[in-house]
Amino acid sequence: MSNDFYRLSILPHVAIVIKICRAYTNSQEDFEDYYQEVCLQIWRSKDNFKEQCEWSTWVYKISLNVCLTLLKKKKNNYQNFASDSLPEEAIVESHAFADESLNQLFDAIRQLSEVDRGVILLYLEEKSYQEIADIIGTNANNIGVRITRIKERLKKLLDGKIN
Amino acid sequence: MGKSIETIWKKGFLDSDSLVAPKLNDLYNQKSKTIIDKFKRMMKINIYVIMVFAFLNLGLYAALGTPYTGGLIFFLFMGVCWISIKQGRTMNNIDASLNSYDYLKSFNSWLEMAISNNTKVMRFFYPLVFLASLMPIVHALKTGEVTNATILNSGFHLVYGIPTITWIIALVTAVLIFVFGGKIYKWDVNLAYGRIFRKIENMIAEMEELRNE
Repeated sequence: MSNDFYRLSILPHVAIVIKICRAYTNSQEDFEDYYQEVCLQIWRSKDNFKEQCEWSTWVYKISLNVCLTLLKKKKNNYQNFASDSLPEEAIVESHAFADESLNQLFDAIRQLSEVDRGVILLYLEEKSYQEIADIIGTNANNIGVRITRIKERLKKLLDGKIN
Repeated sequence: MGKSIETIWKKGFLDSDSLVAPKLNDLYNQKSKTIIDKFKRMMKINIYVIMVFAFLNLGLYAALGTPYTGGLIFFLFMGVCWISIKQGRTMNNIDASLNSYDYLKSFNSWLEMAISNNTKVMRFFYPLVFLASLMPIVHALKTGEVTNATILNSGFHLVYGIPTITWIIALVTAVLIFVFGGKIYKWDVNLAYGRIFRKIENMIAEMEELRNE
């Protein structure tokens, strides 16, 4: 991957990649691995971009697909194999961001299933229901219902933690 | 909770330092961790192991006095390698820019197709290898003076110097291996990749649930 490609095609959308990778990892080491893999995959797949959607949407797709399919063989990483039933003690407390509320929100997002994580990230990035549906591969009506449920779950997970 | 998640999100990312990209180190040589790349690596290793095994068998069977059987096993194993290489090439056609659901479905379809094709091949491969592996034993029994005399004096009906009943047992076993070859192969594959398969299936099921809500 050339420096130009990284500078011109990935860096302008780096916030998307970072947010998605943060939501799918518990540690800085994993985050960096996922980030590198996403960048690599964006570069590898660049020839498949046919301008049917915006480049940023395409970057979302690649980032989510890579994160969804990354399965790590780390002894202490339960996240990829049983995220729905992830025991609380398995969540490594994250201090990735300066804002403590944001860290707690990410910790809560990590307790969602892989698909729900993708949905809520896209929602928080102010993507429309239709765009989310296009990226995830479902229809827009279902997204609204699912987002309501995810928000309720997040509210419960964050209850009492954030003022 | 006092703040909405939307507010936390917006305020949290106002600080530009929150989104510092990690440094990319030697990206070309990064070991890829995607399932697809992991499969590619595993398939490559498997192919190399089978090739080495094929050559070892060639030498081993020649040493045991049955070089033609060694040749047959060599070609059987090389055939398996050739099929694996061909399958590996078709895996490259999976487009990572598809939506998540279609991407996983494409990969899953490829997996199912590969397993289905391999199952058909393995149903013939296993019994043929089994029968071929008996040839050195037959050769040893026939060339050994004591064993050969014992067989000849046993009173059994013989075919090619070996009791017919032995041939029948071997053939029945080969037929059973043929019948259960598919299941043996699937059990074997599931042992190695089962956890990844279940993970993919769970993700697809969850997405389908979302599509059908």
